[in-house]
Amino acid sequence: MRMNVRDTVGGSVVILVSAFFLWFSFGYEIGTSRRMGPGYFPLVVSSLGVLIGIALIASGLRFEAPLPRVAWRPALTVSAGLIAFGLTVTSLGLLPATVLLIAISAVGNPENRLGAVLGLAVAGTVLAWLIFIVGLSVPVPSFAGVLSWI
Amino acid sequence: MDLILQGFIHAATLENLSYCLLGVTLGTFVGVLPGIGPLASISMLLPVTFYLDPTTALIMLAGVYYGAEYGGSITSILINLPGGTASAVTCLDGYPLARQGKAGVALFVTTIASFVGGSIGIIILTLLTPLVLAVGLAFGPAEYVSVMVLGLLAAASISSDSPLKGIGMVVMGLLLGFVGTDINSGVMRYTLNLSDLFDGVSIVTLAMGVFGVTEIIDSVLTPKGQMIAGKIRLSSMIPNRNEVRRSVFPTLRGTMIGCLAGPLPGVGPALASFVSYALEKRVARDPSRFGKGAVEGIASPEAANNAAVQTAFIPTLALGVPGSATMAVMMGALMIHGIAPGPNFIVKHPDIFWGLVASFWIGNVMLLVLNIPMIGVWVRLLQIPYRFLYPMIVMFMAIGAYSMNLSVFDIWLILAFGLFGYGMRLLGFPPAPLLIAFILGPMMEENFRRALLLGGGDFSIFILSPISGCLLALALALVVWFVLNGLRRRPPQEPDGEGALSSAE
Amino acid sequence: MTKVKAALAATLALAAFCTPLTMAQAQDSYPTKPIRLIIPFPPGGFNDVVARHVANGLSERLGQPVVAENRAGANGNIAGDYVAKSPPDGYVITAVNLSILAINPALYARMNFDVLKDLAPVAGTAQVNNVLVVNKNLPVNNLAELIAYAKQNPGKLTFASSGNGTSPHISGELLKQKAGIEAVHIPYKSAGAAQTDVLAGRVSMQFGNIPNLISAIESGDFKPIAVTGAERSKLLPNVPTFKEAGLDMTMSVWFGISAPAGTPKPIIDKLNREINAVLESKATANLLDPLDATAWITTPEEFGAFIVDQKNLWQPVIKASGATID
Repeated sequence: MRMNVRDTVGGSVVILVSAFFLWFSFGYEIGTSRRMGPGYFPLVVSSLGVLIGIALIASGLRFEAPLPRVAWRPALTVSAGLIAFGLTVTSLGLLPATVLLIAISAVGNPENRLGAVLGLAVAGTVLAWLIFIVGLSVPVPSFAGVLSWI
Repeated sequence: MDLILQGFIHAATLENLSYCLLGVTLGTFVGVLPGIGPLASISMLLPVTFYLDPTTALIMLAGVYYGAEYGGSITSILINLPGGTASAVTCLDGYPLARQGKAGVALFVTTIASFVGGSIGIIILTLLTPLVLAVGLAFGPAEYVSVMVLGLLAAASISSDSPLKGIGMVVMGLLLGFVGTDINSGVMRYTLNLSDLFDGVSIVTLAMGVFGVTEIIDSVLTPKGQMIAGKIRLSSMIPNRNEVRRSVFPTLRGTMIGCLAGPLPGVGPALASFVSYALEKRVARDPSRFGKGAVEGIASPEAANNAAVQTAFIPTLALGVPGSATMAVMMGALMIHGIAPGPNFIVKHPDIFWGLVASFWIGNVMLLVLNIPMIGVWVRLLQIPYRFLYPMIVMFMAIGAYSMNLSVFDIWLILAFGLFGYGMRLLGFPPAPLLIAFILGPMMEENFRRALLLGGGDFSIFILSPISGCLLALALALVVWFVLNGLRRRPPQEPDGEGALSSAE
Repeated sequence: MTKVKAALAATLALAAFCTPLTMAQAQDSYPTKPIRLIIPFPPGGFNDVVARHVANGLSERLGQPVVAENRAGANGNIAGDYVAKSPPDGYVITAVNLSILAINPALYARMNFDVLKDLAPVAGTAQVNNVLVVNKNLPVNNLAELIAYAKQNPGKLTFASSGNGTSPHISGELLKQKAGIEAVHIPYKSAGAAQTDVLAGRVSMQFGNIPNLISAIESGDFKPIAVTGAERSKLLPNVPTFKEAGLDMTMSVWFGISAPAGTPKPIIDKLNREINAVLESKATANLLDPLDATAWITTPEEFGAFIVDQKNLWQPVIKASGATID
């Protein structure tokens, strides 16, 4: 079958998201047109979303287009970096979390060898400290938890 | 005229000028940091102004405001990370220009268009305050709803070759906007019982996710590790004659739209910038250039944004009604000094009002003087190989977002939106309509329900009000155009397998 | 192995022995590190302005920085919950107000903390009064005429507020109940947005703080009806109080400082003393006078008793109004 996978997949995403919101909107009061309840608008918009999604799938059946290529390595490393930051920023403090964030996300490009990764982590953390802690005095401890003695 | 002159004399003291310069510099610097927009910068500096003369205080805060807005445009152009909704539009053509090695041109056009838009906005502010006020007051809930319907449709059309995809993103933006406490009833919607979501998704995390993280994932593997092709020559810093010629009318059209939209509390600048973008795309001889580095696509929205920022001061000062959270903070600064903005403000404090108007212009000039020489510096930043640059951008985003609310949840949101945005980008769905709908949606719902509450549940108020009726007719025309255009749709010229690396979509 | 165990036991014993000692010391020398003052509302509002002023004054007097930190959300509940669950060591305090301590408990169906049990009162800081204004085209000039108009035109009056559970909202509900009139509540996201529609005449009236509304009152765009305080406002000497206008209704919007429950008494007393010293200063008067607010000197006990009173006062009003936040 000829189809534009981008449109069909995209249309399905729109339908899925809309269906999720539509499902929950039944739990909220719909109300009357004078006194609309909290469910009125979500119901209307998510129903519209389902229709748009269907139209997208339909329009995708008209032309053919290849699947896009996914940049797995950057997607995974940047995600891992952000997760590491989120998990450590309160328990270890801002600076250790920043070191992890930069080091892990820097691996995303295979040209960044160990030296570059470490260099970036150190330089970036110093920069972060200068701007956010020294400059803007953001109320976040540089070191926390087990590292708070530093 | 006398009063304006007096205003300049009042504003142009050495002290005021230096605070203005300080404000613009701080604002630009802070505005470049992701997550810290005008509101956060002004709030941080508010306590300083307790100890200043009221005019000086406001001049400095106005400087911060301009600087931060401009800072947001800088990051939009250089790294595709908008500082706010208004600058999300600047990303569309500014970033492709930067990738072509023309970041200098983009920044130059931004600076000049902002200056022109701002200056004309100030003239309107000076001459037409009563008229603008009348427009602002004539906009009730029904008129708001109609202008937002029009805005959403314009949003769907600003990027991507398929309006249907744009509308799909608009719908998802609207849905995301529902998350949080419903203002009318107080019911928590879509919060999944997470207290972090009680006040909804923050605009900053959404923008960082769908623009910032998405762009980074997409660009990390850029060949040769260099963001821009070739060396930066002087000729790529300054717009050539053709680019100047192409920017003139868009700048003026954008200014006009900005002046009209500015007095609408809450939505003015953002609405102005993407409606003017949509308009330019409509009137252009070759609309396909848009999104691939058209200077018109920067000049018009930037002029519109800045003109709107100026006219947005009108309701704040002349009615005592702040149009945005930022304006509310500025008004707070005045009230701390015992000055209540409102209908009597201009009569009771002409020195402050005109001093302020004069200082707006001085602030714009300073922004120009400060930033033209800085363009070279900013552009040099892009010569750093992207593989070194992107970990730093991730760092700025993560810390910037975290420092806003000290909430780890915001980091998870950025990640989730980033992956979602990346997926949608691979499928050819543009992020800008999502962001714009997310902003406009809650306001539209709020006003829609309020309009019906006030109108006793009768839908005809939307058509019977002349302003609202006209706006809806325009919206209908746009829908018809969509449908006709959709039927004529040619096979898509979307990028093939290399699409993952191409940003100009 | 046993050696390690012994060492561990010794350390633990030592630690147990030291703890009361260090705590006592901590109270004597408090504060030894920066104090965080959590502001439950976004920057720029009255709560923020007063709290930041107190933070600055305290920093000078205590010799340690008192850092103001905005944690807005859910009408102040997010910050309240956060502080309620913070360590009670005097290094996290919060700027509370009428909404958080007296309105939210009745308004919200679910609260993650108990305002009386989880937060300890430290000191009141300021009080401010609201004024009721109507659009200039509404054919009423005083409270008696307003009530008569409402009774002759049922369902016609509307009142704007800056959101569910804010002081303009509950002031309106109190007026409806005391005067026995009907008016549709139209909530907005901010005081500014509410004001626009009252100015344009789409909404009939609103309560609001006086400095925000005074310019429109002076220009004649708003007609002032009455002020909510026990006495007339210095800014509006010709406007009667509700009591003078014939309706037994007095309320003020108040602000204060609280700490997590369990914060040692000596620390609370020290903070109370220092806060009161800041409030009595000339700088405070300079700040509050133009805002039509008065500094409010209390002991922790007085402030605590006041909170209980207010909670009991507002609970029935809110329940009767039917307003609730899920």
